Amino acid sequence: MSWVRRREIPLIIFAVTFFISLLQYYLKIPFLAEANTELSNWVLIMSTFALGTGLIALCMYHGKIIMQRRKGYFVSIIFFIAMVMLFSSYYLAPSFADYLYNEIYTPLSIAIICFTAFYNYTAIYRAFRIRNLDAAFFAFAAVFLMMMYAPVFEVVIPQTITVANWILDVPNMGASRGVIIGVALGTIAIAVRVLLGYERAYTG
Amino acid sequence: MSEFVTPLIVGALTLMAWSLLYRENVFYRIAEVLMVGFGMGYTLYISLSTLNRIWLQPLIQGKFWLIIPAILGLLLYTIYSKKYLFLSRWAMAAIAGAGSGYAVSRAIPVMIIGQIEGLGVKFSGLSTIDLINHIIATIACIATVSYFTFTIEHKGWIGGLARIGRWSMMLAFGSTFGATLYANQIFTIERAAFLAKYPQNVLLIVAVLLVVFDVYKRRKS
Amino acid sequence: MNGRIRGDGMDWHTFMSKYDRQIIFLVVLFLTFLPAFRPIGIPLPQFYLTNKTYYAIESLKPGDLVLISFDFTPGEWVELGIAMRDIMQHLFIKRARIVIIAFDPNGPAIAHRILGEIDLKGAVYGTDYVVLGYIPGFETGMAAFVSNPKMFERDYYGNPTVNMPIMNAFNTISDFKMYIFACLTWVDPWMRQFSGKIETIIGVLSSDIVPQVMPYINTGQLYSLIRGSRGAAEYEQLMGIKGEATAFMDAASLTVSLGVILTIVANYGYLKKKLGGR
Repeated sequence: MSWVRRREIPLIIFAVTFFISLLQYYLKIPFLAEANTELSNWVLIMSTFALGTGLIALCMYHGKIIMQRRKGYFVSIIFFIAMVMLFSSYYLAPSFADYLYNEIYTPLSIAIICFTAFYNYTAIYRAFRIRNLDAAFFAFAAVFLMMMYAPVFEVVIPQTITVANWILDVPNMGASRGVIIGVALGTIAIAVRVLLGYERAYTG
Repeated sequence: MSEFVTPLIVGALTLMAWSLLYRENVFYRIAEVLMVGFGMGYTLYISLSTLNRIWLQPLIQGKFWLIIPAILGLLLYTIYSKKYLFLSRWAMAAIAGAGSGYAVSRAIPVMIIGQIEGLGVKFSGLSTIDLINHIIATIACIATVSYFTFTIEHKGWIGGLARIGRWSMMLAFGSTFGATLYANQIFTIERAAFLAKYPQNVLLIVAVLLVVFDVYKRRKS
Repeated sequence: MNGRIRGDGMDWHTFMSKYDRQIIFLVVLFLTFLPAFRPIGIPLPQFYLTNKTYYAIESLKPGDLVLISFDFTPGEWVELGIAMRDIMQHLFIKRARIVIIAFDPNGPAIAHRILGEIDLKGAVYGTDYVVLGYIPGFETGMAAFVSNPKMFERDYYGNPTVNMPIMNAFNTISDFKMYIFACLTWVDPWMRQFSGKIETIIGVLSSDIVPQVMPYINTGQLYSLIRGSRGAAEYEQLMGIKGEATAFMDAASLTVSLGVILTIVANYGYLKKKLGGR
């Protein structure tokens, strides 16, 4: 049974699925279209199963903490209580589930995300230094785009918004276009590398 | 009753989450683990209900071959076993292969050809300023692509073009940074607007007093 | 003044260096809370793309088919959820027929919340709007939906879709007049799969993504966009309502101005020293 461990099997699976999904767009062959429909159906089912992998990892992590009675294990108990509470209420009391999701979970998620803002400001104060011309361009664009999002600047100094719009629509647009083209070429290159076996993320 | 109790609960949870700004503490960890727990509870529900819709119902109705993707999907969980890890790569390869195929097939007409078409210009009805702006944007685009061309050494005119590409990208990344500052700040603004209302602003006063008391206690010791 | 603060023997410069993080946090919190207690009422100018989005939806006729996808997490409610709520309200006012999907698992729950909060103007579920639910697989799911929009036999709530009048209103993806999506990441997958398939594509995007999508706006592949909560505030202004997003703009002005000031202050001393030392 050592053949199941061979690297070629996932590589062949990758190649078959890749070419079916790629060629169905360019070649209008009925067999290919049907194969593509069935393939996408299968991938959707596998992707749905994949949603549980993160859940299992977290359950294993918190479960271990509880079993070993490590310091602060009651926090891990709260994890399981919260998970079971929301999951079970979708089946037992859907209106309570909506309440938990909309009134408790959503504001809590927003509150947890808040920190990035504070650390942005400290990062600007501590680390943002115009050491060379590249940093000067960066700072120039950053300052004007910040002004664009603060209505007070647009009202008091309208010219700042003219400059900000110009930055957005001209040099930023041009560079972003170059990045988009580069990303597309990179996507193709990565796919070719996987097909040729140079990328071992999927094949091991 | 819930109009009074719910804002108090949410206000308390918000302040528990924000307590990390002061220092690492157990209240923040509780808020964080509650968020993760609720998120996982919802994820479990949506995965089961989606599986029911796209797999179980069709399977019951006669599409028996759907047992194969289910087995492949379950094999993904062997990722947690050192001995059978290789089995999880089969499903990962299928998911990645299909995703790459759809991405690559559409990347060419949309991201490459579509964007290169954007480099072209219709001269009729174009003002001088628009033409100058278009030339600048085109130079920025070509310069950015040349910056990522590593097979030719960045010397001479290629080096100059790559430097222009770097400056253009600095303008682009600076724009993103400036916008990101606002995007990140709006979450705090929303929570602050919520905490400023009654009855949760009472909790705000309690939280401030607690922090002041803790600072005083730590300075004393 | 001898530059010393107190009994610590610390001068202002050392004090600022040691406690800069705490001082900045306190200033940010103060500027964030101030307008919540005392609104200022700074006028809100419009962005041209917000106007373009508004008039695109305003030009819809009753019965026009619109596809909406909710592709963000609850944490992004402020940036994207409020804007989507305003747009959904506008669509129901225009009596468009709406098909709702999601490529993020949280999408259906957010859509369900919005549908509970807005005035549906007498719209009937199954006839005027439907929530088809979450489509897994991300880009594969998008490709699958684009090639077969009738892939679901059941909607998000488990109801069979086969007899729903709205499901008979379309056969292919091109039957939709407009597609509006809300996402917080790079828009490339949406543009790759939907571009060229639906007449008008509008993105409700997090503010930090806006600079990166300007090439798609320039080529017309993306018709228009709403830039997060700032766009939502502008949209509320166009709709003539004083909503949540409008209330946030005063604090946005103050706090983002702090970012500008910090950038200048942080570099003033540094550049003065660097240029003076030459």
